[in-house]
Amino acid sequence: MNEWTDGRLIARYLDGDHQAFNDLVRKWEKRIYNFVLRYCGNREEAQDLCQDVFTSAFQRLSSLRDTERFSSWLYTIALNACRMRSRSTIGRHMVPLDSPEEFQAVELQIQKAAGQSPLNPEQLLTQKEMEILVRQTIREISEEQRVVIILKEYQGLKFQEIAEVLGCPLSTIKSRLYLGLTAMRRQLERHLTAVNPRK
Amino acid sequence: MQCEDARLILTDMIYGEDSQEPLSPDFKDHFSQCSQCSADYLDLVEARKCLASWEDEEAPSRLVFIKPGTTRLSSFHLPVFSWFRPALAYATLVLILVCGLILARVQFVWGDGRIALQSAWFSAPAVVPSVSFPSTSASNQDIAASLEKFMSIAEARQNQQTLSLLQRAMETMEYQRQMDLARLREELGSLQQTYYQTIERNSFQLEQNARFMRQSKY
Repeated sequence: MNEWTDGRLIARYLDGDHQAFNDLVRKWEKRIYNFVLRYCGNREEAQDLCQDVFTSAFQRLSSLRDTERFSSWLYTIALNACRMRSRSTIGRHMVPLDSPEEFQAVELQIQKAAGQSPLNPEQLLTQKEMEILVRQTIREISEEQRVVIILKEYQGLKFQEIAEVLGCPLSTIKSRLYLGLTAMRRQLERHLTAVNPRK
Repeated sequence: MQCEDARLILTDMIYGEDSQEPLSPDFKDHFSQCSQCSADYLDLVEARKCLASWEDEEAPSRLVFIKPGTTRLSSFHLPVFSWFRPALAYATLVLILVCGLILARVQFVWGDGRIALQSAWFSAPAVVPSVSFPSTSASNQDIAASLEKFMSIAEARQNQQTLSLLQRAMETMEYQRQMDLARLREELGSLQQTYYQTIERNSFQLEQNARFMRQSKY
C-alpha cells in the first residue's frame, strides 16, 4: 500500500472515497491503541476506547479544518475519550496489566519470543520484568505527567504537538515531563529495591 | 540560572529537540555546579531506558471499517447478519402496503366467481349528475325509474355492491306495492259489504213506507 499523507487521505475521504478512512484507521490504529492502552492499562478497555476514538473521528472528520494537524486532533479525541472513561469507571473492577493473568500472558510471550529475540532468555525475562514494573509505576504518577510521558516517550510527538493536544504552554509540558520522569525513576528504584534488596 | 530554567533546557537536550542551538554558558555553569541537576539528568536518562522496555503491542485487527458506498461505520463489536437488512426491508414494505390498504378502506369482494379488491373511496358514485333524488311527493313510478337509472350506472361501473343494494331496494318496493294492493282489496271488500247492507236496509225501509202509504190511503 502506498504511504499516503493524512491530509491526502482526508481529502480523498471528503471527496467520497470511504476506503480512504479505512486506510487512515489502519495507519493510526496501532499508535492510538498503544496510547490508550498505556493510559488506561487494560487491553479490553483499550480496544473499546480505540473503537470509540475512530468512530468519533469518523463522525467529526468533516469539521476538521486544518488537515495537517490531524495527529494532534486524533490524540485530543483519544485523550478526551480516556479521561471520560476513567471518570465513569471509578470504583469499577478492571483487570490491570500487572494482574496474575497478565503475568501468565507475559510468560507466554517470553516463551514465544525466546526463539525469535536476539536476547537470551535471562535478558528477555529481565526486560519483561522491567516492563511490568514500568506498567505499574506509570499508573502511580499523576495523570498530567503520565499523559505527557506517553505522548513524548512512546508516541514520539514533538513538544509543540503535545502542547497542542493538551492546550498548555511549552514550558508546562517540559516541566511535567521532567517531573514525571524523575518521579518514575524514584518509584522504579523503590520497587527494584523491594524486589531485590541486594541491588 | 535557576534549576527551573535548567530543567527546560535539560529536557530539550535529552530528547534532541533544538539540538542546533549551542548550549548557553549560563546553563553550562549551572549544570557543572548544581549536583541536583546533574543527578536529575542521570535519573532522566535511566528512566528513559526503563521506559523503553515497554514495547508497542499490535492493535486488534480491523478496529473500524466502512463498507464502500455507505456512510455508516461497521464495527467488529456488532454482528451484522446477512439476512437482517433484506428482512427488515421486506417487513417495512409489507407494513407500508397494509397501512395503505387500511387507509384506502379496501375490501375483498366476492362476486362473479372471483375475488375483487374494492375501495370505498374510488368505486363509490360520489356524484350522479343525470339522476335527481325523488322528492317525498314523488310517485312509486318515479322512484322505480330513478332506481333503474342507478342500477344501470352501477352495472356500467361493475359495482356489484351498489347493484345488490339497489336490487334489494326494488324488491322492497315491489313487496310494499303487493302489500298495499292486498290492503286495498280488503278495504274494498269491506266497503262493498257495507254498501250491500245499506241497500238492503234502505229497500226494507222503502217497502215499509209503501205499505204504510197504501194502508193510509185505503
